[in-house]
Order: sequence, then C-alpha cells, then structure tokens
Amino acid sequence: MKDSEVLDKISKGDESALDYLYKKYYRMMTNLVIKNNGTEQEAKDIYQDALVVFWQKAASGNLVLTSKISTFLYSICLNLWRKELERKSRLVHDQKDGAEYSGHEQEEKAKIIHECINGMGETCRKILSYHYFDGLSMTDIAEKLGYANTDTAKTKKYKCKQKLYQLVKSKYSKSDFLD
Amino acid sequence: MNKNLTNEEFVNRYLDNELSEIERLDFENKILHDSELREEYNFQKDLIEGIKETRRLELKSRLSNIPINTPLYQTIGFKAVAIASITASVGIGAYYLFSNTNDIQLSDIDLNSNQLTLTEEVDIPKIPEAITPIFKEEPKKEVVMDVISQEKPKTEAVAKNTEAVEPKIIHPNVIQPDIVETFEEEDVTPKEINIDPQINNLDEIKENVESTVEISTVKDKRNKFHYKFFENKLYLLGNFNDMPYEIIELNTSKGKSYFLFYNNSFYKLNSEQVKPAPLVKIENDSLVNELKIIQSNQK
Repeated sequence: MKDSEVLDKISKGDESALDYLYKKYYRMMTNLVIKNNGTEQEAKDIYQDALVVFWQKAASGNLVLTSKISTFLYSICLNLWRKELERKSRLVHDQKDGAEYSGHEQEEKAKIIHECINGMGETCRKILSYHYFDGLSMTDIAEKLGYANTDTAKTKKYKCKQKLYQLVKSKYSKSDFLD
Repeated sequence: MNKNLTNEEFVNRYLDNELSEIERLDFENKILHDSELREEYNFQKDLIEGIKETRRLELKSRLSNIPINTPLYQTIGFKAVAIASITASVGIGAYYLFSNTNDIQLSDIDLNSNQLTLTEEVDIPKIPEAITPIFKEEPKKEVVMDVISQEKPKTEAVAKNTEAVEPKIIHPNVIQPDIVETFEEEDVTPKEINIDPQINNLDEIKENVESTVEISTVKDKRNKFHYKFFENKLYLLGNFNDMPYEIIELNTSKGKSYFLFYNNSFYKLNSEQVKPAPLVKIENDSLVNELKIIQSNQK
C-alpha cells in the first residue's frame, strides 16, 4: 500500500490501515527503543502509542505529511521514548513526589469516567470517540455510522454527551469529586 | 450571549468550538472569576479526556491483538535469518533446506512440493518481516524491504502449482543410519515388546489372513535405524519406543511384502534381509500414496 493510500484510508477512519502500518514497521520501530535501553514490552508500548498519535493526527484529515509515513512514525517513537526516559529518570531522582495524592484522585476520576463510557451503548461510544479523539467531521461520522445526514449525527452526538454527563455526575458524590 | 444558557451548555459549546468570537472571549473572562463555571469546565474537560483515553486504549488493544512474529532473529544477517527460519519451522526436512538454497525449480516438484506447500503456510511469509530489523533505524531503506518481500509471490506461485498434491510432513530429524557391514549377534540384546494391537489389524490386507510375522523392537547402539528378518521374525533395531509405528503386510503375487510406517514415512522391509540393514525411506510418490490408501482403509 502506498503512503497516500494509507493516509486516505485513515482519514476515512478505516482501522485496517492502522493494522497494516503496525505490522509493516513493527521491527523497525521497536528496535529503535530496544537499541536505546528499552525492553521489548516498552518498545511495543511506545510503538503503539506512536501509532495512535499518528492515527489521531491523520484521521482528522489535517495532517500534511512532508516525509514518508515511516520517517514520521520514527520521529514520533523517538520523541515518545525520550519523554519516557526522562520520566523514568525523574522518577528515580525525586521519589518523594508531593503530587502523589492528587494524582491518585485524578486516577480515580478517570476510572469512573472510563467505566461510564464503557457502560454506554456502542453507538454512543463510537460517536463520541470519533468526534473527540479521531476528530472526524460530523459529515464523516454520519457516513461512517450510516446516518441519513449530518444533523442526525449532531443530534446523536449531543444526546450521547448528555447521557455520559448524567451518568458520570450520578457516580460522583460531592464529597469525593467536587471541591 | 444568550443569558438563559446554563453553565453546562455554555461549557459544552465552548469545548465544541460552537461559540462566536465574542462569546468565547466572554467565556474566558467569566471563568477567571466564576468558580462554578470553572468547576463545570473542569468536569466536562475530564469527560472529554476520558473519551479520548478510552479511545486510545481501544486502539492500543486492537494493535496488541495483532500477532507479530517473535523476535528470533534480531541481530542475525539475512542468510542466517533465512536458514534459521527454515530450520526452525516444523515439518520441513533438511531436504527442503537443500532444495531451497539451490533455487526452487518448478519442474522438480513431486516430493518437495508437499513441503513447499507447508512452508508457504508456516514460514515463508514471515521472512520479509524478520528482515526488517536489519534495516533498523533507517526508514529510508524501505525500498530494500519491498524488494525482498517480492519474493513472496514467487513462492506462492510454486505453492499454487502444487496444491493438488497431498501435503506430507517430513520430519527433519530422520536418524541417518550407519551402514554396518558385519552384524555381531552378541551386541543385540533382544527384548520382547508387546506389539501394538493395531498391527494385527493392519496385517490383514486382502484376505484377512493372520499375520505370519512376529515383530520385535531392539534397542541397539550400533544399529540405530535398521531392521532384519530372522527366523520369520521382524526385528526393528533402534529406538522405536518413542513413537508409534505400523507394519503393513501385503499379500502379492510374488509373496508377502512388508512396509514400515514410522514418523510419517514409509520404509520398505525386505523379508530376505537376514543381516541388519538400514531402513530406507520410500520416495516413490505413487507407492507412498498407495500405501496411504491401504493404511487408511485399515483404520
């Protein structure tokens, strides 16, 4: 598959293009991490993160690629791995991190939200993901989910967001979430 | 701005980029002083972050489920990679390795072809993948990889031509017999082994005649994969206890013929053979197929 074909597929939200890229560059990208003091697992993790970043950029259709996909992916991997190495060295240097408690609280919140999202129907999950993460236009979303028109998709998205809003609100009690 | 807009709606529109320029500025000014609005904003921001994170995890888990070959050959050169992957594959004989390194000939298919079919399924597609580490850190060399992966269709073509042939696994670890000129009886410590009851069935081929031959397996250091007939008794010399074997007895116009089926291969047993002789695999395809038919009829 040519780079342009891959990008075209991703911009339409075709996840098989992601699978294709994953397999194609797996060795190359994971080796970059492994050669730089990373484990196989870390390498895999970084590479997956990099691909997801790439996906997000490409899916929105706003990505103008001036290099090959492989080169671009390579630089994302490199950046992510550098950040990870920095994070790891910070972790070693200042073990007693004061932000630990608030970090924990944030994690709890995220967990509740995550559960609520997974508790919603597939359509809602998709529509919200496509809108907020993939950055697909409402026209694309309507097409992808088989809605008659953009307005239907917009209404649906609004309702789904409302639903999630209510769901999460109900799970939080004032004491453990709101200041 | 519409005064009736709730905080929830106000934040929602702000985050979805649905406010006009004036409304946006108004929002950003208001949020500095209005703690409730700030609270609402943080709440919705968390929701969106949650949506993004869930999607991120979903995509990652999708990727995690894609099988990737184990990194067997990270630092080895191409030739080594090719050889390693060939020898590592199950059911590919040394014979294949030989024929593979000497260019596959379409005309020379018969026996090898079976292995090629298997190879195509098991191994060949992996090779281009395994090659990628050699060009690590050099995305530009993609061209080279593409060239190598073009080998794949070629092998496919070979495999296609051989689809009609029934696949047969030939195990690489066939013990190569040492040819022994003299047989020393004292080396042999005959040991009676209970014969697999199956063999009795197999003996009845055409006329339901009871087998006339008795079988014994003998562990023998010198004769690792040999046989002999002695006083109307068949001795299998070597380690025959690890894997099941079958003896096929055929009544033919010229008398009885015996065959050994062991480790997915057939071996001819000559009943005139009194001295230990190495077991020689039958390579004749039509004979092998006939024996397979006989064998399956017995089961």
